[in-house]
Amino acid sequence: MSKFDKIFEKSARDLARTQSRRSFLSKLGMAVVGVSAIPALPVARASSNPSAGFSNGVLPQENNNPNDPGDPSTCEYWRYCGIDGFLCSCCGGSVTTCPPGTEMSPITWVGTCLNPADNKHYIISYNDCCGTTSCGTCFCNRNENDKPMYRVFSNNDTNWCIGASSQTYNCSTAIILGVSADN
Amino acid sequence: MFCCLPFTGQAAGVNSDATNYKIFCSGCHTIDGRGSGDSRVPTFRNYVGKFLTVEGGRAFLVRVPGVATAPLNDEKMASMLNWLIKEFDPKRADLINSNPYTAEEVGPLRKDILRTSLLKYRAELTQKIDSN
Ligand code: HEC
Repeated sequence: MSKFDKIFEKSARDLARTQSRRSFLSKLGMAVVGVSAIPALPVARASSNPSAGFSNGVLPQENNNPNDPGDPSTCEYWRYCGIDGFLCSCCGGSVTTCPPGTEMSPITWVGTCLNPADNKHYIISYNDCCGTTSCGTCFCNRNENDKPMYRVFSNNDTNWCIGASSQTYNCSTAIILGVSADN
Repeated sequence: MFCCLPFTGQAAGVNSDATNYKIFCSGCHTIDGRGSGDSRVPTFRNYVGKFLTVEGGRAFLVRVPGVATAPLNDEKMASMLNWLIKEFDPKRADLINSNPYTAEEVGPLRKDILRTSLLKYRAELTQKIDSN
């Protein structure tokens, strides 16, 4: 544990000058990893509407998929149960994609959230998007995850953008990796 | 055959090794085992099984903090490690098939978490591996 604490302490110190939160590593070439890992799941179609959801006056993002209920531009959306950050859905990206000009971190925070539509626990990866600016809109910190996967970090308040070609945390996605049988 | 295949541990409430890997490990190690692409989270692919070929390596794989502290019981952890080696280093699957980790083996090792000595220990192992 202290090993990780050390890594992140050091990273945090290195980065303390430039940013406040969330740090780790990333590499553009690997950004696809998280995305390609979501095969089986309902994707919030409305949230990928590029005209919706820019900063200020975020439009409600209607989601007509009954298996994936809720509005991904609001903090209450079910997938956000373990999130801590700005919602990419409000930042020009979507619940699964980064805003233009940012890149997705391959190293990420993973948790499980209960989908109210089917009462199943889904494995959610909160890949951060890293760029040159911070989104600053739709801050959402729920942290209610009953499974803090990375106890080694002791919490999810870590910048996962260290090592990315761009290192400023912009926003967080919530990508489904699969279903968890136990919860 | 078709009617009576054994139920392979996928009963409701039991996650497969692959699912446990997704939940507890993939955030750092990535779904495909490539890691961070640099030395910070090393790749498993075509490498992780090599630890089994050097003295101390087999224990090392269990004593790293990610394995030692994961909220999985020893049986699940042993099973997942066996899966992990076969999944990401299939060339060395035989090494683990012929001598898989068991709960009895990993239990005590998990209590012996590598902390400050980890990087030095790992460097010694990889040096031995690479000079083989
Ligand atoms: C917080 C990030 C993190 C998590 C979570 C994590 N690991 Fe690791 N793991 C690492 C890092 C970093 C290393 C390299 C050794 C080191 O520097 O600690 C490593 C090393 C390993 C190794 C030794 C291989 C090598 O080349 O050093 C194994 C095996 C391993 N991890 C398995 C797992 C498994 C299985 C899980 C899930 C139960 C897991 N890890 C969870 C970060 C993590």
